[in-house]
Amino acid sequence: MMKSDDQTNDSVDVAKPKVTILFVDDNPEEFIIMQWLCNGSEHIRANLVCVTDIEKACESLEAQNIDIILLDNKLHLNDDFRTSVPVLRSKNFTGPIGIVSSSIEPEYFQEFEQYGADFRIGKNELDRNSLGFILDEFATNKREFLDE
Amino acid sequence: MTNHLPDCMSELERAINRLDFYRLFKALCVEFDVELLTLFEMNNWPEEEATESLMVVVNSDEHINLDLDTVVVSSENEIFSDLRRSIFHKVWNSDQLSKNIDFCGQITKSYGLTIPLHTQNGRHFRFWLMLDEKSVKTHQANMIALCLKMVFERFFNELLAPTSFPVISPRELEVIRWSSEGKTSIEIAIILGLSEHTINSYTTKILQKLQVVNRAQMVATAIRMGLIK
Repeated sequence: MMKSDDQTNDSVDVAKPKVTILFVDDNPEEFIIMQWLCNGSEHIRANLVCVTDIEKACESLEAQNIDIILLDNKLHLNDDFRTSVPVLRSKNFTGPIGIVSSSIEPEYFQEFEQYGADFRIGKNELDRNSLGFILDEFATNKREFLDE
Repeated sequence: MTNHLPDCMSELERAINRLDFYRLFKALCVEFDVELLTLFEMNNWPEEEATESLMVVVNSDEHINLDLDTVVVSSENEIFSDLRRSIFHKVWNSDQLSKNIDFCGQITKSYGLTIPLHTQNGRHFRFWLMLDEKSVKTHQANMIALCLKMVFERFFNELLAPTSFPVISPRELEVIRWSSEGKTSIEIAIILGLSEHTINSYTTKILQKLQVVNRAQMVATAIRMGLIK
């Protein structure tokens, strides 16, 4: 498990909301890219937790508060998000889950909501601006209903 | 320059949620070298000078800190006043921009493109884009406006339009049923294996469809309409 050292800029970043992102990808090289994307955020302090498989992701969910999960579609031991998202949901995780994939063209991606995912995005589309939009949309703008 | 729609427009039919539309807008910004795209509703301007953005796409790493979620525009603003009256898209040069839009000093592209949009039920929106000279050449501006109008039409129908005859989906019906049992969004999310965000999105859509303002009224209306017992 790789953790970010989000303490480095704490003095200047203390006013920003902190968001803990669980990034699940079987290719550790992707962690470096994700870390670089997270470090560039002007609006939030991203605390990135990276794991390589679903089992470790489930352990992370039990060990700490996760605000959002970014999940690689194809992991070693799981077929695709249709298998892995229900496993994460079975841990009573009610935060947003986004599927990150090199290709989101296959027809089954159109059913992402049915399997408990909140959004899909191509790896080539993921830059600092789109990550900022995702965090703003799903992780920091939490809507609550008055009569709840 | 071609007369064909960009490849990314093939994704239009697949767009479901706001992120899908953001991806489409972003792909169009990349295709046409647009540095900034914003979408606002115009109906309440200039009575309410602060307008909230329905969509902001920044296609430049240098301007990631540009916060345009809410923009305050004075009633004297030449560009916005023109948008109120015009039904055509229009190109603005750097002098007009710097005179009317205070954050333009942070933008490196020197032209603005405004695209008014009018819906059948009288709602009025507009796109506002920052781009360079090459991209505003007439045919390119026409193509950008055409693509954005196509995306907006689906965006409006999928996410903004009030429906006169509400069609409640099976998932939405499940949310109403569990709400009527007194379950909270988190509890319904756990029961259905979805996120709280998705449950709240469903609830927002149901409130819109049933034209009610809270969950208690939603349940009461659903019972009256015979959607649940």
